[in-house]
Amino acid sequence: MGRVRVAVVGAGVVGLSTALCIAECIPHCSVTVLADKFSPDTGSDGAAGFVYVNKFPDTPVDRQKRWLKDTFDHLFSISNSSEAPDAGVYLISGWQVFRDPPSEKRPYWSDVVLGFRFMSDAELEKFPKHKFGQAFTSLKCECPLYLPWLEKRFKNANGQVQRGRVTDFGQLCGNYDIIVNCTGLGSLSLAGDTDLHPVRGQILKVQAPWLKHFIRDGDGLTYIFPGISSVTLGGTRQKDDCRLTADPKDRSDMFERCCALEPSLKKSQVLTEWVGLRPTRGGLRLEKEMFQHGSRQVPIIHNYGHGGGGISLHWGTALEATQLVKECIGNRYLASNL
Amino acid sequence: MRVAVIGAGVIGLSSALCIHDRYRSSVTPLIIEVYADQYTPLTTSDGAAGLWQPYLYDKGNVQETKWNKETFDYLLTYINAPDSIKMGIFTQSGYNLFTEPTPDPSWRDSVLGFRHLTPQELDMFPGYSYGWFNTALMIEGKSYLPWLMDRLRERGVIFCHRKIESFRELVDSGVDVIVNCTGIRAGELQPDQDLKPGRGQILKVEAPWLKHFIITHDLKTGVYTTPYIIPGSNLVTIGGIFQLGNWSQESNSQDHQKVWESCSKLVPSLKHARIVDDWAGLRPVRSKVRLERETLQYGAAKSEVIHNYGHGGFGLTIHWGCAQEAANLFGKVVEEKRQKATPRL
Repeated sequence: MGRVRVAVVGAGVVGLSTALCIAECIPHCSVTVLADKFSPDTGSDGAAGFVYVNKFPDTPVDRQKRWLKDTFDHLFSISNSSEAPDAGVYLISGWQVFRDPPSEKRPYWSDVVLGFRFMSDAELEKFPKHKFGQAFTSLKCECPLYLPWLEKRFKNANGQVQRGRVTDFGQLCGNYDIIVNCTGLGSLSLAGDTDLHPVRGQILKVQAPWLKHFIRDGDGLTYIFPGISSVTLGGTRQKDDCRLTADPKDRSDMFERCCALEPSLKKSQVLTEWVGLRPTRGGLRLEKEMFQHGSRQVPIIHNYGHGGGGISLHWGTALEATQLVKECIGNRYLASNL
Repeated sequence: MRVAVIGAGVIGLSSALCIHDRYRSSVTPLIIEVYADQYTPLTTSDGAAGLWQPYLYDKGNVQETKWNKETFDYLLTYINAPDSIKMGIFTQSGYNLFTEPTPDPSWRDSVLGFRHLTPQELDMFPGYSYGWFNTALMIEGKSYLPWLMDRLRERGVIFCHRKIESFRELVDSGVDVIVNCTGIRAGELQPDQDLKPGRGQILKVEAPWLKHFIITHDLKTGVYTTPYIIPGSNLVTIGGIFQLGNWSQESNSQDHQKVWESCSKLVPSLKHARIVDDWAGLRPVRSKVRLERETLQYGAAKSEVIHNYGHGGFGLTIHWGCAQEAANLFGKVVEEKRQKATPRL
């Protein structure tokens, strides 16, 4: 049996990690990443990179938890190694605060992160408008560093990279045996997925090197994530809003909300702002589909719809997608031997 | 009343501020002069990393635990204030690591969110089997001291760049109260067998991905003898040197190597950090802080001295509690003078 040719479409955090996983875990595979956008121009690049995720309503919790845990463990071991600064991966502690106590005080991910506990009254005094809070340690993964780091590892595993836009899966069927679709919002046209929709997020990056903790409001709209060279302030969640240019009203509103949580931000210097569209779906699509191309049937492994949880879930979904690719190859081998 | 504060480190400046704050309305005129040959950024307080954390156990010095807590509570009130960054105050969380189970420290209830480390957290630190996590405060001398000086200047406190050679020169000049905040050099004004240098050497490195302090402990070799990593507002301080009796204020390459190797072993990502600075300072070590009054008389000239020195490696940590106590002692001096002046009926 010859080499299995795998095409991974998309070079954001999901595409590159999935391609890397396949290249490293499956022998006899030649993997090519095809994308029109690479770091620093992907949707992953502007994200703060904080490992945390809300629930997907249509995906079973234990499956989400497994993806999160796999990703957390993977990033955790990088954070403890000398690769950490190159990969842009490090630990961060902080607080998630709620104006009113949430119905679920101990979320499903509370034993995935480190040191999860409820905030004490003394700690809540720093947030006079909030009555309840959770303190924990999680990870940060900065894609402008992480994506090039993944790409380097991928090329060391004999991975190939090709720049260019894929407008139809049919384009690839002549040259590839298996297609892996990590195109995020690209699947609106590529996969004709009507369940998928953008949720607009605008963020601000400021200079505030004295900030060492993350602060996230439980409503998910206001957050402060200190990074390596700037602090990310956010944000917005605007359903079906495709505007890629920054809105000055959104900017001043989020700055005000962040300053209310962390007054010292008033002294920070604004650096840049960014807008990203979260590829949102009721359930993350991670499954095999057989694509009919003429007389052939080519398997497509879909791995998209991560919403705002791309970085938080990437390695877990990459592992599962790799497993699906393995199964395809297994079936092929069986089929070719019948 | 004329008050001379000797020393412009965190102890001298905060004592001056506290005394002025509490007595400017009741003692008129209240003239405060600060005398020092070293001002910020050249004091010992400037070189310190600036983490609020006392030694682990107070060994019965409950006063010191009280002063430490008072300082923490006082600094915490500024955390959301507009001046917080100018003062060099911000919160930071981190890890204290041990090779064996260790009783909780005397400051457990002073800090925020104190808890023990989970097994998963300990996995990050091979060789350490026990530890604590808590949120503490940072108070950076390089920002805090200039802020204190601004506050003092606003209040008309006078600064003199001069080394005081003896208490006598101040007593002779008619100073009513001397506040002795001379730190490691207190012995030059009055011999003190108990005061010794605890030499430390630190490196400042660029490692902005580090967001926690990490302090290791070896209860046998003592405080600051094992690696510690303390991120600041700009650079990260790494250290782990404590040499009792060593008066050298020069960095040496042996200590540099020791700090660099031991800290890189503790946190492998440091291998990529650029070393920006290397500094050695002398912690004014004493069995306990000398915070007490003494009357000095030379012929007809008499002054009250309030000693406030010997804060070891916890000067920033304890400064405000001690400043308040120094102000209390000052208040007693004021009261005594008043009683003497009041004619008895």
